This record gives sequence, structure tokens and C-alpha cells, in this order.
Amino acid sequence: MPVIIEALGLVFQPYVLIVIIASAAFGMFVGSIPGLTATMATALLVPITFFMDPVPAIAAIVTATGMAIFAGDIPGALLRMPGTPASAAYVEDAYAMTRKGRSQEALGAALVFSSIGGIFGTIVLMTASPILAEVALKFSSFEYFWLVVLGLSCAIFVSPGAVSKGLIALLIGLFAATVGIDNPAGQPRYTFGNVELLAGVQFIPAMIGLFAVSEVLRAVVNRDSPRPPIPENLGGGIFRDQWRNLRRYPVQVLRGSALGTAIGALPGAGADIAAWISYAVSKRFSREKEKFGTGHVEGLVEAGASNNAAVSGAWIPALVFGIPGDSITAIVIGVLYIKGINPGPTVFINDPQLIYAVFIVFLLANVIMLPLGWIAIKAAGTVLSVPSKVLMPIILLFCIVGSFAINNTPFGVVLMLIFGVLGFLMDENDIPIAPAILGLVLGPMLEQNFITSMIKADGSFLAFFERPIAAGLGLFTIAIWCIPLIIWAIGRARRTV
Amino acid sequence: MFLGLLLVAAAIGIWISAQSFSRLPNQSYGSETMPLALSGVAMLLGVFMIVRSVMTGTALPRATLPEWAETPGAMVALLVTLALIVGYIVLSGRIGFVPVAIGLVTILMLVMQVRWWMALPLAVVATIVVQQAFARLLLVPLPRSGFLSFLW
Repeated sequence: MPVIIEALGLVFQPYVLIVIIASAAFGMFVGSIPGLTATMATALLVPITFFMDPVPAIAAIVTATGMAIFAGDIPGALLRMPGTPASAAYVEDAYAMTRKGRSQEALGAALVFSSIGGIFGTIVLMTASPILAEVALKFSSFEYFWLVVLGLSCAIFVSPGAVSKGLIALLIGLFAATVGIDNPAGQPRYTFGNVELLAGVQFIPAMIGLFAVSEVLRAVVNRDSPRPPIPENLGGGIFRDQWRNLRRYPVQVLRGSALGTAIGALPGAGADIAAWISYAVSKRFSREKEKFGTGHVEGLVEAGASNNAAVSGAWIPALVFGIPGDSITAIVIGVLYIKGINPGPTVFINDPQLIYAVFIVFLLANVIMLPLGWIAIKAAGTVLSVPSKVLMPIILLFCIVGSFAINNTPFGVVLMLIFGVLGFLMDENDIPIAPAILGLVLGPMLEQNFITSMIKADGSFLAFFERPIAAGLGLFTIAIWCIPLIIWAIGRARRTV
Repeated sequence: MFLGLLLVAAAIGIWISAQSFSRLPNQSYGSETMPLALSGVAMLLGVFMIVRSVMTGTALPRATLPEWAETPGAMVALLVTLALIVGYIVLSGRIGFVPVAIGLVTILMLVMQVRWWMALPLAVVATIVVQQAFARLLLVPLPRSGFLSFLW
């Protein structure tokens, strides 16, 4: 108990609270601009944290990260331009809600359930870190392989339209992920002698191109028949609707938060896979499956809770074993080392007040998200009142600068242009875009875990089912693919009879 | 049918290109494994789509233009937009971010049928706001213009 009081004393100081509010505003700003990510917000904060004590330094990073992940939903819902790959999972539903005049409900759901998911993840982090970390470390390449295949399968099956077109989109993403030198033999693939392609296709410029630039191009070719004005706030409210959603979807909130925390705790997995799997699970068990993708809030509630829960979950292996769960915790571990704190089991013994202070900061960050998110949503709502013919050129400017900012080279803009044209052509042919993004993000992880597993198993596919968790994940994934085929075959047989 | 044929062609292309990639020493796997696997899936999917088209009697569709292409000027507007992005890539390093961005936004607004006396001031304000946010606040090294370096 004295440790907790000491931790409270470390957090509730005017300086720390000001740092939390300032980082929250910064995270909100960075996350709401397409192209700027939570990782970038964290990286930009690192030089500033050099001048801070450990608690405000960690508080700045934790707050900015959580806020940026939520803020990624704002351009997704208003403009169909997800700020992060995690937001891409439910962008179609969020944007469809905006088109129906329910943008405040959509963004309110993203905000409130992000906060709930984050708080859930923090409570798990506080109470069950060591147990979850033990389980997470039992994951070998076999389990990771199936987890990635499961995430990719979910992306195909939750996409609107035919499965074959979802699969084409996924193949495009996976093929783009093969570009570069980062492969098992370290041999340049599809780089055509270009030095910048050696590092592979950066997914942020690709995502900006596929979602945002394709939308700009569509607006340009349809300039004579602009989209009808979007009715705003048809009797909805940012918070009022969420109480109703919470009472209507309690299981979904709990399931999304739990799944998000568990997936986040796996080193290297993170919020992207969590959001996709949760969205697919939500659709699978929903009583209103047909409404998904048309502006239905259920998937947004579950996946929104899941991706922020994963952010907290990623801290479990980071704090317990010093193993980063994602790129953000990798940066945080570096900051902790600079501050003379060694993450791992000993930190719980040597600096328990610091660990409790981090937990309190997590809770504070997820609570402060609500009022600041409310302000951001209110401010962002004015975007909808700007005519498309004025908005689109300015969005293109943001896209260009966001793509440039990833590596500070014009090559990001080149990638954005190529993927913009590709996204436009995909849209014209009713090929969904989202699976391509997930393929690009998870392609390297799929390849690495597949080849590692095959080498370990000496080429035997049976080894993929020999470990209990791998077998469970594998059978579940195969069932996802086979059940629709079996249902289709039975239906066909009945019709023939 | 068309997409199926395209997939089969892509699968063959990837398969041929993968032949030049190497394996890990003393292993059956390497840089070629993933492209070969993708080639296999693309081939299966392509053949499935072709067979399904043949079985359902869907012939190879005639080349048709999308609906928007029949609107006068739509194709030109599309090409101008793409040219503007290419222009930014080529010119921003030489002339600097601010003048090229103002030109890009102004011309694109004109393409979108915004009046010039609105387009120009909007482009200037938007460019300065973006430049200040990214270059000053987020320290992104946007290409500078000699005569506008006071903005940085």
C-alpha cells in the first residue's frame, strides 16, 4: 500500500499532469493526420523525454500513444482515410455511418470504446502481467504463423464483396511485401536496382495512396457530380449514443478488450492484427451480419476496444521481460534504459513505485482521452462542412507531406502515387482495399515465421499441428475457410435434390 | 474472366522471376519461397475464376469505359492530377516545398472548378499552415526555398 501511495505522489504533481495533457494534445494532433502514426509521435517525443524524470517521460509516451491510436479513427470516419492500419479494419463502417449523418456516433464509439479497451488492458497489465507474459513467451514460429494466417483470413472474409476479390487484394499486399532485401536469404527482390526499394515498400505511403489518394482521384473524376452534402448529427451525440451501445453490446466490448489485450501481449503482434481479428469475430457472432460494412456500429465497438486494449497489452512483455511487444514499446524500453531503469522481472522488485506510477498513468491517459477526444471530434466535424472541391486538394497536400515525412525522402511520395493509382483501379473493379494493407503489414511476419517453421520441422507440414496452441489456431483457421465451402456445398446439394 | 486471365499471367510472371532468387545455404527454402507460394495461390485462384466464368457462361467482356469517363473533361482532370503529383516529386527538391505546394493546390482547385480568386488565397494559407505544422512543429525537413527560408 505505501508503494501505491508513493506512486500516486509521483504522478499527481502539477508538472506530470501538465506533461500528460500536453502529450495528449500532441498525440491527438499527430494521430489525426493521415500518414503520421503513433510510433512517429513516440519517436518525436524521445528527445524531449531526455530532459524529464522517468515518470513524466513514460507518461508523455503512454498518453501520446493511446491518443494517437484513437485519433487515427478521425480521418477514417470523416474521410475514409484511416490514420493507422488498425483503424482500417472498420473504416468502411465508420465512413458509411458518416455518410448517413452519424459521424458523431461513429467517432463517439471509437472514443468511448477505445478508452474502455485501454482501461481493460491496463487492469490486466496490473493484475495478470506475469501469467500472460509466460503464455506469450510460449508462442513459437508455428503459433505466430497461424496467428498471421488467421488475421489475413479474417481480412478476406470481413471485406465486402466476393471472397475471390478479397483474396486478389491480399495477394497484391503480400506481393508488395516481398519487395526489398529483408527476406530469409537477404537477397534483393523486385528492387530493379533502386536503392530505396531495398528497404521494402513502406506501408504508410502505401496506405495513404490506397485509401486517401484513390479517394482524391475519385473526387476529381466525379467533380461534376459531387457527393451529396452529409447531414450532420441526426439526433445523435458523442457520449449519449455510447451508453445505449454499451448496454446493447456488453459481450462485444468485453470480448474485444480481452482479445485485444491477449494479442497485444504477443511480441510482434499488436493492435493491427487485434483490430482485424476482433472485427471478424464480431461479424461472425453477430445477429446482424448483413449490416457489417454498411454503417453498423457493432464491429466498430468491438474492434475499437480491441486495438486500444492491445496498446496496453503490448506493455506486458515489455515490463515483465524487457521484450518489446511492438515498435512503440521498443522505443520505450530504450528510454527506460537511458533513465537507468532496466525493464524485466527485477524492475518489480527494485522500482515498484515506478511500475505502479506507470499503471496509474495508463489509467489517467485513458480517462483524459474522453474530454480531449470530445474536443477533437467537435473540431474535426467542421471538416464535413467544407465542400469536397476545396477539401480534396488540401487533403492531397497532407498526403504528400505525410508520405514524405516517413523517411524524409520524395520516394515516399512516389510510392504514394503508385499505390494511389492502384487503389483507384482496385476500387473501379470492386476489389476491396483493406486486405491489401494487412497483407503488406503482415507479409514479412508471415514469410519469416513460415520459413523458420519449415526449417525447424525439416519440411514436415504436420509440425504445424504438433504443439497444442498451434494446432488450435491452425484448426480454427482451416475451419474459417472450410465452413463456408461446406455450407455452400450442402445448399447446392439440397437445391439439386 | 478478365481478372482470372490477369492473375494467371501475374502468377507466371512471379514464378519466372522467382527462379533467379536463391535459397538459404543447405536448405530447401529462401528468398524464392514466398514469391513461389504467392505464384501458386495466384495461379489456383486465376484458374478457378476462369473455370467459374466458363461454367456460368460469362464470356470475356468487351472493353468498356467507366461511367465517369463519359463526362467531358473527367479523364483530363485525372491526368492533370497525376501530373501535378509527378510535378511535385520532380520540382519540390529544386524550387522548394512552399511554391510547388501552392501551385499544386491552386491548380487542383481550379481543376475542381473552384474560382481562381478563392483558390489562390486558400492554397497559400493551406500551404503555410502545413509547412509550419510539419517543418516547425514536427521537424520534418521539407525542401526549402532560398527566398522563403524565413518560414523555417
